[in-house]
Amino acid sequence: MALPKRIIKETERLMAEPYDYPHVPLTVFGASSDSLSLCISRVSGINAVPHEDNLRYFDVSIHGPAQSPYEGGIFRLELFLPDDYPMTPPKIRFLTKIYHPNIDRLGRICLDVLKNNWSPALQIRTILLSIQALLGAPNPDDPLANDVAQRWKDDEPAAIQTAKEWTRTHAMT
Amino acid sequence: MENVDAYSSPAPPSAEADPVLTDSGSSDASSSEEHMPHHFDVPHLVVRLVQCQHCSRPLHSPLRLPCGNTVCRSCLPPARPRTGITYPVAEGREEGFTCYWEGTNNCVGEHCVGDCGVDVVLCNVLDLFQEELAFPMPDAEAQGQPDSAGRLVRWKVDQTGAKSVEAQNARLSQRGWISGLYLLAWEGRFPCNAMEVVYERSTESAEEQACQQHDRIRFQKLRDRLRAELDCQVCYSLILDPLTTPCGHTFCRKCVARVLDHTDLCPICRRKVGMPATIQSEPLNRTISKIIEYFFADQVASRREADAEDELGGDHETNLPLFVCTLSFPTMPTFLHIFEPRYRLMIRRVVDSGDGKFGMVMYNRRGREQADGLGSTAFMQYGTLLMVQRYELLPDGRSLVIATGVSRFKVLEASELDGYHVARTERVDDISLAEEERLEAMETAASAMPDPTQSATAEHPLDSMSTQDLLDLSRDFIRRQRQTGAPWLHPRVMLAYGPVPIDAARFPWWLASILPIAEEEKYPILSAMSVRERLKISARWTRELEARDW
Amino acid sequence: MSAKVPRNFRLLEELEKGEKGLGAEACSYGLADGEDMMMSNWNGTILGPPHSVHENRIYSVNIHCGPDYPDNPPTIQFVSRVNIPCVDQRTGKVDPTKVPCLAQWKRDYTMETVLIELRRYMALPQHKKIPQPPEGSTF
Repeated sequence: MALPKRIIKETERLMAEPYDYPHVPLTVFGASSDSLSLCISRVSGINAVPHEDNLRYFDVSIHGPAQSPYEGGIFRLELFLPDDYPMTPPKIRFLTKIYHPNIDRLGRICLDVLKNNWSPALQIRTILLSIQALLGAPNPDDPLANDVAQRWKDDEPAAIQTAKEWTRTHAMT
Repeated sequence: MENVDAYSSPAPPSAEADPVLTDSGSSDASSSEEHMPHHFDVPHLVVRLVQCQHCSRPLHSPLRLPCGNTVCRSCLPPARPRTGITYPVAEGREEGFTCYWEGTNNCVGEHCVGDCGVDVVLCNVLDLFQEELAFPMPDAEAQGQPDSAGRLVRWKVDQTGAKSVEAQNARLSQRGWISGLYLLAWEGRFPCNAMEVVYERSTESAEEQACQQHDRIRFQKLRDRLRAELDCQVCYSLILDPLTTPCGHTFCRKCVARVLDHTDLCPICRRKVGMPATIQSEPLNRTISKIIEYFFADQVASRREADAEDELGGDHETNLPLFVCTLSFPTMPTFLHIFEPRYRLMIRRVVDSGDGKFGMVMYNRRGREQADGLGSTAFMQYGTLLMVQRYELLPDGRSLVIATGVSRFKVLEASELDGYHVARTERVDDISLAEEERLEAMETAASAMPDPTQSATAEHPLDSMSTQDLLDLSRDFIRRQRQTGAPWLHPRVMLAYGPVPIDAARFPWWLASILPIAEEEKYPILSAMSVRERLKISARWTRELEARDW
Repeated sequence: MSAKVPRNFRLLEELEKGEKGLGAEACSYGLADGEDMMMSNWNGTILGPPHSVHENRIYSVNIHCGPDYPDNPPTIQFVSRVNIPCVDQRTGKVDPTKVPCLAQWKRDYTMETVLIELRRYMALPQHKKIPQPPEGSTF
């Protein structure tokens, strides 16, 4: 079955996002898993590139938001648009290890818009921005990683310190 | 480039490879004629697209009406309280009004204020009309004002009531006809039903050409900007068959139908859509339809073609596999153990095809004659479209399937395929909410007058009860039965079918799924086409059961 | 026809199914290392089929899903000793050519498919009476 027009358009728009450095050539389409293209920073701090052999499967990078423990880190994720997308949400998970109460050890994300609160009017771009916002505003009351959430509640400064360390170890290489 | 719709445009002749160039008409006017509406001759048709049919001004804060028409908020007829309606319970449903279009264009006449949301797409469209047509163009207007007399436009108006035709005219101070007429409409001086509009051309050919050029540029710019506003937010293509929700958001009709298969909330504002699957009969947004048809007829045609091809792929309306077994109901689960080889094959195909849908119909045990010329088929005509939720293939090839009811259908024609039945079906939907409300108001009003032949016995006739009371009657019955520990309400049952639904539309499906009565008795509820009718059937069942000795 | 689910999301699906215990009762499986982002190594168990020498035994296996899973089958190695022709008696490795679902692997097969088929293999008439090493011994 041909790729739905909506997915084609979303991809085009993602690829047309402005770059921070205008001299970077715009030829990254289909660069697939080559991590180079993901390190190029977009103004929004989010980047998604489809795999050449599966246009529903995206390599994603998200820049940790400023003034958060994740600042300076570039986090890699993977995203997949299932058959009934956009009626059902995209599937997405972190590939870079991250210390966050709403993200578990396998990188799975607890975010309402990825589950019950999904709406077909949302899109890849808005979802990635929501995830970026989640990094800026952890919610230990709706945890996926129980131990992290507990620590976040018991000793927030220590938890933030760990998050910073993990960012340095895993997201800055 | 938003204005070029490469996917839906048919392969253009090479001369039109760059539509922007060709359409702006700077070179050869004749080649662009096919591509664009003939707006030079009929500027008033462009303006008419956005005129309020009531006040003739460009629509202002447009409200979508359930009948598909549009009026300015300030043109909404006076509202009055509605009585005799208890379902659905929602804000804004207590007031209604009589529509201007009563009796025409399929308008039922009475609308509920709560159904008339501000038309969001149209608001954006109107802003563009305003920006592109209401302001003078700096370069064109500055050089050489038109002569003080202005250009003359004449038209006729049918005077309602008087049965006479009145000739009217106006002088436009603007250079182009389109913006001139738009401003005239804005002042309320150009009626939306103007006929035989005549534009007095300038005798100077240079002036005339400049005017036409002006119109072309305005029109093209408007068209380009409109295109970006008219994408459906679900499929990201030009809206096809625009359907506007009561909350005022517009999508393709098909997209709404797909959304409603998954949720009953609007994709944009998450309010309840309140269009219970009657999508096929729901009127389209006439104003937006006309605008799209006028500006983008070519794109509509090619999209419709592409759409028709898609449908051929997995069209279940024509080739739905049938499982002849039991009664299933929308929104409710059905648990199946599949062991017959023909159904193993069928389910495997259904699952492998990727969409997981099949039809469930019950046996026609008594060999009853079915309607629509089906004759005495092995199954009953009305059934439920099921969607496989879980599929467990056992090592020996048997399988366990949990499927959920999606919608209802009736079989129009059936044949066999590798041992199982396949059918051409037609979706069965409820009547519209407006009809639903009218039904309740009518029935309760009619029986408010006491029937002298009927003795005042304990039981209310069901027809006289409000829809809400009908629901309560059955729910009360369930409550009493649970208190007495009725085995058919065992916690395990509740776990499988969910707790007692509060939603009146879902309750009868739930009740029908668990009530311990024969399937033949339950069957009529499948073809009932209103919530109220189903609640009456439910109430009848519960009264009979209550009268029975347990 | 339908979208091709990438490896990691396929494994996440299988993980969820395994965690919720949705699969067939006689087999189970889970991640060997809950922090392994690549989800390569899995533990599986097979409950010995009834009416055979395996009845009431529980067999543990290691399952390895390579980077090309599910385009290619996982590799299976028994931890518990078992004496059946498809298992190398030195290492416990399953010979993929002897198990139909591994030999004719399809993309929509899962780890559960393999476990169920191994269990069925144990129950085949020609295998169900082969003498077995003592219960609880490992490779």
